[in-house]
Amino acid sequence: MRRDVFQAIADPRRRAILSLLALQTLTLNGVAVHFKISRPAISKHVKILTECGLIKIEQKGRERFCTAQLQKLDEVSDWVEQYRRFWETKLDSLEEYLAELQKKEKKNDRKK
Amino acid sequence: MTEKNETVVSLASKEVIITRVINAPRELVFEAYTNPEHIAKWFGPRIFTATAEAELRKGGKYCYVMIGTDQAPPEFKGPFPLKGVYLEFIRPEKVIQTADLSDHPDDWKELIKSNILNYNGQDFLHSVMSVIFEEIEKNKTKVTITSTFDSDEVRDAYFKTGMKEGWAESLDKLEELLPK
Repeated sequence: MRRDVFQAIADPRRRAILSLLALQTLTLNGVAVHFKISRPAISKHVKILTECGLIKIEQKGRERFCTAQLQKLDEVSDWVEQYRRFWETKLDSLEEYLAELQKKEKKNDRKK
Repeated sequence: MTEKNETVVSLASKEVIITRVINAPRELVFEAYTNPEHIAKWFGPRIFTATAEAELRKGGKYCYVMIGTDQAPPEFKGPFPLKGVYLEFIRPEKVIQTADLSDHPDDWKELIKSNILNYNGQDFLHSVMSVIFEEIEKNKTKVTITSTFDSDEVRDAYFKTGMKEGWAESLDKLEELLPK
């Protein structure tokens, strides 16, 4: 199974886990107490986030600590930004064209 | 100088939504957005020329084709046809159209396919595009364009392709070289 950042953030619970970990490092149990879903379900989401490179897990004694690594999210915002710019060029061009059309209409009105 | 209106992208399940306010009356924006004679003049980025044909009614067919000009690099020569059918055509409020990219060049299709995470036969060549035109002031129209894909993975593949090939970037660069 290949993983990517989009997949990591597609699920609302994974986004919630990330927001929680963005503020503080927590143990797996520390994450689980914030959610109503089962502990294995939390583990599964944390595992996916780890495989996507958004969480780092460190074993300290008996506890496993989860830390968010949010740099990877920049990939998504870069991708979306490029898409936004693509559409922006198109819509700018539509707006310029409409401005020209309206100028022409005004000229024609004056001639009448 | 009027301030430039912001183009906003947001994501929902299988969808990407683009919103933008255009400084023009709603009837006119609708006309320029849908009428093939107008589309040909604004649709393609500057290194492309565009042709457009459309039967402007519910159930009518349309086809826009972008072709790279002499200044376009070989991978942008195309032609890149976008065709489909109008599922709704309600002047001047709303247009819903299917978007079929199956006549795009094969290497373009391969590139998109290679960017689909865990590809298992998803249909990445067909999507549905809806456009809503809202009058927010007399001379300001809010345009909301929603593209709905077969899956999140297909949607994301289009984002990634933009990134990998530096589409937007190379287009920007080319635009700088061209007379304005």
